[in-house]
Amino acid sequence: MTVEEYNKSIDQCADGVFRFILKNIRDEDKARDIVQDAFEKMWRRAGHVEYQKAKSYLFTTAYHTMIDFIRQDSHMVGLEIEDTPDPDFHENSYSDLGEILNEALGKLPEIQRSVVMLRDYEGYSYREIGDITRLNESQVKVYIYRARMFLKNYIGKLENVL
Amino acid sequence: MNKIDRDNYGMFIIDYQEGNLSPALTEELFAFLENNPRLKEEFIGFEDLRMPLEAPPVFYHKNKLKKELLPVKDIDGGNFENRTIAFFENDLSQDEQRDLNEFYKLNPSLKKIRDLYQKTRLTPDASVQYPEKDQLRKSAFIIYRKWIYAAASVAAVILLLMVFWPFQWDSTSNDPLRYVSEDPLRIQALSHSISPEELTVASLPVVISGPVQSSVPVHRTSISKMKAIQKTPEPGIQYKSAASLKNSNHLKLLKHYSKPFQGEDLASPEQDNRRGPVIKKIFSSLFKGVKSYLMSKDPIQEKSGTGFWNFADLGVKGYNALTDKEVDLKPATDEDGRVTAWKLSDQDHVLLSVPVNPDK
Repeated sequence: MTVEEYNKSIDQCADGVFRFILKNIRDEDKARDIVQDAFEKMWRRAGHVEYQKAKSYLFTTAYHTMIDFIRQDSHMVGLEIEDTPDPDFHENSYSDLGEILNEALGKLPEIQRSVVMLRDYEGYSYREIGDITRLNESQVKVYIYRARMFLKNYIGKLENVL
Repeated sequence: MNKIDRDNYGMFIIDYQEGNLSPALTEELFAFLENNPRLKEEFIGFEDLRMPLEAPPVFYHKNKLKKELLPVKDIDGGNFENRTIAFFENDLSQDEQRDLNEFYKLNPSLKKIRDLYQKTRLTPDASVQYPEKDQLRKSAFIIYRKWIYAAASVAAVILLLMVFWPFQWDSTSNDPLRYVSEDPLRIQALSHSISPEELTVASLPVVISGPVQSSVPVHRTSISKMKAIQKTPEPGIQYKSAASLKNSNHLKLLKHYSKPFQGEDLASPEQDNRRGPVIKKIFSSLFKGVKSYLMSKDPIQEKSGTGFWNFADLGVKGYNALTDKEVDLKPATDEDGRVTAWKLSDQDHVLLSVPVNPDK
């Protein structure tokens, strides 16, 4: 990877990686650190990372740094909870479906949240998501299906309430 | 809750009869009635006035009202949601998509579920952007380690060539007698007697004699090849000792013996006019070696360490490969096995010795 290609990958991937991490950990400062760390790691290995694989390298590196952070930070345990919607959530006010989904996304288990975001935000295939998260394709598919079902039930109940 | 007394006990009795009184209040009510026997008799009479329960009405046509989902091929109420998710994940074939659409047509009440699944698709928020991109940008050169090794090796080879090559040229004097006193020599049979000057050849430990203009070229600078020739003589070439040569009057040193070594003999006395092609040949070999090195899978992994001596070792090997020399770079160690010096030697001759300071 050349310097030009490295700088190009910043323009192409930095926002996507940042969104992905921020949605997961909801800590902007930490998300910035993780993105910066991912790019620094790629720079150090620029002689070995091909430009075509830069995006995948960045997501993989950032994802695993995020997982380490989640495991280390006890405050993040709260994001790992319920598989069922919180019946009191509708006390919040929502202006559109995006906010509802955002709320529902935060209630998904970390791994389901990650795979569904990689699928929807970045359009990765099951295999590519598996490479990033170190899961096999079948596991990725199951997690995505479970996440969809949870999101459907969540927004379905909310629509009934509204 | 008020305490049960004569003014309000009736309300508690009604609650009790309707099953709305808590166990604690029920216990309190009965305690109150025990303390008021007259009211207890009234309570018992009141209880007798209760209407008997009627049998609950039953609707006997429930099954007629129940709806069943109409299946399409293997899609039914048990799996249509998974199929719907698969549809939005683009996991279904065209036939399966057609079947699923048919299923929803036959079961329109389920379309809301399909719509909900469609809404679960997430869209990235474009307003969220990484704010410090400029700090990530780099302007330095990316250094490829593999190229560093290759460049260092080439540089080392060139440096060694520059060091050793002058000695090669110095040893190739135009004086044939001086020359032949150092190396074996091809000689040719002549018809006239050998002169005293030519007999100095006899000081050679070994000389080669043979037919005129042997077709076998001799690489004079290649020690290994010369050894090979001595071990396995070519047919038609005779090997004679110096003593036998001294007594021979049928041999004469060829003044122009360089001819049989055309293009191969770097050390022959008439090489000065062939220096150009030799340089070209060396660099050609050098580039071939570098190309081979760079095309290899990962030569770096074969060599541990990145220190100066590893580079020097690569250079020595490159030099040997190009010149067929046997220059060796070896560490000298003390009793404890610590490296005290690095020695560059050509067979038994130490060409260079560099002490190593263990403190550094």
